[in-house]
Amino acid sequence: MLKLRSGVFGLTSAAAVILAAGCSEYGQPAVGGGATVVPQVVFLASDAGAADAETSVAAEASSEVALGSIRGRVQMVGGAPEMKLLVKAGDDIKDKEVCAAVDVPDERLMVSGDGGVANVFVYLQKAPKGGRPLETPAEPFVFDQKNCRFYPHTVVLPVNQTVRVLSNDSVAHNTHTYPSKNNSVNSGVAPMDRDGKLEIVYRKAEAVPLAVKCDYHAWMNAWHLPLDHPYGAVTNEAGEFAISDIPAGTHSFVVWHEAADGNFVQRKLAVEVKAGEETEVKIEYPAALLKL
Amino acid sequence: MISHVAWLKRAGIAGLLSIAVTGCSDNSSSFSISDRTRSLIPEAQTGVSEAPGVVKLLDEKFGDPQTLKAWTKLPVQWGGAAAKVEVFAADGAEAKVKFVPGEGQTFPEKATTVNVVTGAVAGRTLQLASWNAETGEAVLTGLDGASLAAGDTCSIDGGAVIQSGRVLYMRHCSHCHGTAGDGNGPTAQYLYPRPRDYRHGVFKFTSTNDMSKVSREDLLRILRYGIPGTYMPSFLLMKDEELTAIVEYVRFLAMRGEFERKLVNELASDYSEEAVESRLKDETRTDIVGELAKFLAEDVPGVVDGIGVELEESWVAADTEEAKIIPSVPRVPDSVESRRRGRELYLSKTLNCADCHGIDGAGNGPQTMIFEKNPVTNVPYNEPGLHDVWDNLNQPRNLHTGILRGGRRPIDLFCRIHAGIKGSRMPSFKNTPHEDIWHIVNYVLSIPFEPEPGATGVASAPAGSATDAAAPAAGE
Repeated sequence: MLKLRSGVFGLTSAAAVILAAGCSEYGQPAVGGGATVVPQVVFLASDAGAADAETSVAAEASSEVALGSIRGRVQMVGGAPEMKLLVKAGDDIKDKEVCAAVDVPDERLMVSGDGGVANVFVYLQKAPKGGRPLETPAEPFVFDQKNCRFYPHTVVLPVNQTVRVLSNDSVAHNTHTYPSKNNSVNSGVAPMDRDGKLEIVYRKAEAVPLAVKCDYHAWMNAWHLPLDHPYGAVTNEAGEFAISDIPAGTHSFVVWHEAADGNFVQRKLAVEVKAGEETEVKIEYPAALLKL
Repeated sequence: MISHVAWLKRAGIAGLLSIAVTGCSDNSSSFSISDRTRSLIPEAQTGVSEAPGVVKLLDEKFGDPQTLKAWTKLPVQWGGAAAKVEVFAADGAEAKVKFVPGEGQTFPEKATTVNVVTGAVAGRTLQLASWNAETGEAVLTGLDGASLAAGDTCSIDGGAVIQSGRVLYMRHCSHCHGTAGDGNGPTAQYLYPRPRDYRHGVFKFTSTNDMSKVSREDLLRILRYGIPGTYMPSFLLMKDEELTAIVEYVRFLAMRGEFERKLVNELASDYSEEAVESRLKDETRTDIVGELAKFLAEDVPGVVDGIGVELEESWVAADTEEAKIIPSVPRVPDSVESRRRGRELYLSKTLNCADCHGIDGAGNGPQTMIFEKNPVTNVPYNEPGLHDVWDNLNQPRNLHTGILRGGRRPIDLFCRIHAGIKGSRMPSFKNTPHEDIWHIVNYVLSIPFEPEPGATGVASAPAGSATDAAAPAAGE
């Protein structure tokens, strides 16, 4: 019908005669389906019976596997750009007595003096066979904010761990998450809430880190990565990371950074983990990849 | 569509035109496929060899508008009564069957069809030659030699609700909300605000807490009373059973959309056109498609089951008592003092409603002036102001008009503040004392009647206010 209508509208002709031969849309049963027909309903069973898969994975996990670990560094190559401030102390911005009380760095890119890149996520997308099970701490993870900046800026979280949201600012904040597999949270956080009334729990692992924002202060930003296995880390200020107790063998790690074009520094970084050894991993981050 | 071939003839200089539409063999409608699905490589959409992709899985689980699939895992009232076969005896072309009702089910007095859900002839619709609702004894035709077995599950007269829901939806709703509930029916482009796209599974105005979905009651309320200030009309003149059938069909479409969305989420980071393009720097297309084939065949069946469980749990939870927002204190009586206290909270650093809604409640706070980026894609929006998850410009309400989309009962406003407005930037203030929420409700309801904007003074306490002073002290 759309084609028909656009055809009519597109014409400059003085008159249009439409002869629709014998198939009225209204008042008569439609032929061959369409809007007015009563649909058939086919009933499907509740389950297709794919429940077996989970038990087999659990069984494999219990068997003994030799473990190794990795330690590494993400290094900016090709000349690191100058680091910038997001907010300079005294800037005339919204809620400046709090948000511009001190210098706030632009955390999208934090490079150390010798080129180590902080806040880079290094993780396995799927739990490897024979890995150690995920331990979910009973203690909540504390996610704080001060001077309109989230602390920490990046974090890997075990699924089902409670994230307790605090505020050390005397202005209103809200914590608004943008996950793709979990439910989004958007809740106000009262000024100076040092108890953390707002709690967030990620029930599912995400494929990539999710953005956490404050709508009162649109520049505030953090990244959470919930994982259902213990094989993920973020780089520290020197660009270093370490992941331990990985089953020996070759694994492919995701290297993800918010300032990289397309976000992936490496989609599949193959690393051979040797039993009982610590493997050194050097990850190069070309400056040309930056998109700031 | 294709068969609506038209001959366009320009007859002479007069420009007389005749269009002859010949034949009308295919009027069938279809559920649209989302842009996110379309952003995947073709193999992920359609599948690789035997393993189905997103489009095929959607069809398997939800069907098309002519043939709806009732995936009985989903909490949709399809209509009909669930039943189990207890005794089956073939008798020539007919078969004698005794059914027992499923848990909590009662058999309808009259019934004409049996939809087979499990067993050798699952998916078939059989005709009832005779039916006894009291004993569950029936004579079936249409088996063509196949047989049912004891334990097979069926639905007696199944699907009546969803059928009626679809017919009514297509008549009353689809022109704005679209056949698939994608908010993109033919009239949608002329409307502001845009009609709801159900496929996120998110509805703005709910009486459920901030992390819960919309309840059936909420949807029914919206159908009955419409959404003031929008094009959504009231359907109060329709019968209750018609409205409940539409609610079930809207839930069905929302779950279908969510299913598609969640499935694409599993594939997008590795198999979108964009991802594959960047992967081709280090990998070959054959390898990527091979990996996809393995993922579709080995992992996706479990993913599909998992999504089914999530949909079931979340939509069931929305209709429970735990999901409901119940104020812990009754409404604070409206008074000058309460309105002033509400205004004070409205302006306070604790809640800072004025940041979006403006100091005088005109919906023009400083946040409405900023240029935002989409928080997920990081792409800047073309126009300043706040945007919702549907990427629509979604400016805060001007509270002077007295038009409140989620309803103007005090409890409606209480829920908006407690749960926030889902999908929008309006956050939940669930951790604010309920008494304070009521003060704000009283203030907001009084705004349209203020002699001049901002005329309501703050509470008798001097400026700087109890709230702002108390908050830091409590933390230290």
